[in-house]
Amino acid sequence: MQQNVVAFQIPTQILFAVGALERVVEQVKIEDRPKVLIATDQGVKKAGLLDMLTAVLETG
Amino acid sequence: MEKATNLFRQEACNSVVDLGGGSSMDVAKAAAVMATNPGSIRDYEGIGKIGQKPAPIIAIPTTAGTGAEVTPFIVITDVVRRYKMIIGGPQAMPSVAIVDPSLMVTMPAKIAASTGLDALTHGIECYTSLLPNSSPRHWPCTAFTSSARTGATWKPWPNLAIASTMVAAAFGFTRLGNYHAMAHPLGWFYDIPLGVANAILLPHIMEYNAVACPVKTGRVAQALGVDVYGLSPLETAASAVKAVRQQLKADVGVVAGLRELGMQEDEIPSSLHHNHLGTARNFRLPT
Repeated sequence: MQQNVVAFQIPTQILFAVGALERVVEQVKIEDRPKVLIATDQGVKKAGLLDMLTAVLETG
Repeated sequence: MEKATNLFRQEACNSVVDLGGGSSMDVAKAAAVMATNPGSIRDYEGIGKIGQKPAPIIAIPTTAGTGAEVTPFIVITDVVRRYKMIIGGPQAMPSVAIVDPSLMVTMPAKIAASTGLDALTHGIECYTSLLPNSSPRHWPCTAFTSSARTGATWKPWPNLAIASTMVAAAFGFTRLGNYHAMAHPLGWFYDIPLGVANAILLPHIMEYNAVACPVKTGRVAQALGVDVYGLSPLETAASAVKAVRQQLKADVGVVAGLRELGMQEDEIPSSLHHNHLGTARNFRLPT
């Protein structure tokens, strides 16, 4: 019987965990002299999440 | 978006980190594309038009969600043409998505509801898509219903976060149906969040599609915990539509139809003018 082959591939690596935010450091460091542009919005900034990200990046 | 691109070039950045929901993700993706490609973002409208590989994108979603962290699409509002244009292709996908549920607990209830509805629609829309989806169809859509009901407590977030990401990875493959094709222009015309526009359309399009894919539609009823014992496939599908309609109204207060938004019949052509029905993969072809 012939089976239909379903090919499925995505180029995005997914890192999933409570506290996975810290893994951003190693991802940024893939570049030799890492310099990132951060895109975000006011709500995220107000909730203190941007501060969490910059703190992680600065200590890493 | 243009500001972000200029900043990227001026500061000689080498990657883009997005921290946010769907809109900031679109800005991040567009800036990454424009970092390595000449001209204007309008030059790349459509699927597969991006020439050079964009700058690497690290996506950190704070909603669950649009799933933009794993989709090949960029949605940009063209203020000149009053239209949401879509730029897409595998190059537009982030290299890494960091899904951390602890970033989602502070989300305001209203945003949690509208982005969650977007994710729920993705699940149902992708599952009942015209394209074969035997692998992504096993991915969770049940997590949404239990999560959406318990509200903003800590417990549901891990399920909801990963379900939202997984379902978006799936719809990049199966494509979406008439829900999103119509919700994009409606959201723009009536200035309502995409998730809410989707949720208003959801039971109506499910009903429209049910005769074409009763078995798949029926499984949504089972996922929602409806007792379908002894029902025919069409009756099961009808019970799914009914269950979705009731739960949307009871849990998140979604209005029953476009008339309740104040839509007049003569506004239908203009509000749906720039739809994406042509590229949708709906199960039943609209006539």
